[in-house]
Amino acid sequence: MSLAVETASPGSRASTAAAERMTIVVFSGEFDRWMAAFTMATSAAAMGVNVTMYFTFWGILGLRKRRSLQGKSVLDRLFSLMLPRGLNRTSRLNFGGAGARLFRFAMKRKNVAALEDLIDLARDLGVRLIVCEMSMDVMGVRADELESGVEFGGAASCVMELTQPGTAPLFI
Amino acid sequence: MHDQSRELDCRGLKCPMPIVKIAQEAKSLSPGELMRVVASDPAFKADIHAWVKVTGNELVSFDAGATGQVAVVRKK
Repeated sequence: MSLAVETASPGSRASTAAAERMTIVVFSGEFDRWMAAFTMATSAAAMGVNVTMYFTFWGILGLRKRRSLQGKSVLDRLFSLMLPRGLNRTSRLNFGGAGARLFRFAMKRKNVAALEDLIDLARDLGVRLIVCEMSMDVMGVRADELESGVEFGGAASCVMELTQPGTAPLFI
Repeated sequence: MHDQSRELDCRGLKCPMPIVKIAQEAKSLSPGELMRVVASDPAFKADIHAWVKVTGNELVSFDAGATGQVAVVRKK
């Protein structure tokens, strides 16, 4: 799985940003990719860009605050037990989670903001977090297992966000 | 004139925090008011130029010396 990043071509508007909006599709659930996504989201928000993040597939796992098995079907329970919890894997050099711990250690040491701080900051700066309903359904994740304050939507709402004029789309 | 400008110390902060702090601080500035920012992040020079360009604020001055980088920003 590679990190695919697509951006809108630079516009010709002179004084301000070519894009007034940024929509980030977060497909991945690894620590390093989330760092990239939330660094971009907070920076864009700090630059006055309206940011929407759309979480799908593995992306929703990073928004799980707890795991619940109660009232779930066998299939959903199986999924819940198999799915990784939290953001403690890296996409490269994972070594059973050692990679993410090394990253966190180095970042703390070098005074880089922690991922959790960037997530909180993104929300403070007005970044919208939208969770893909279909992914939740497939993986048996319920709304009460996710962070509060997230919105829910489908592909059409994601496409609508992505295709608004002046939108820079990112897929991480 | 710098005496009356807002001070923001971003020394030690790494990307993207200086820009985030500047954006947060700038919200409470009145139009025309100055903010003096000190930063040590190597990306700060490029990022403060990008920030003023995108947000429409003015970069009054930028100096990089031995003691760090100092940017003076005027709120639009």
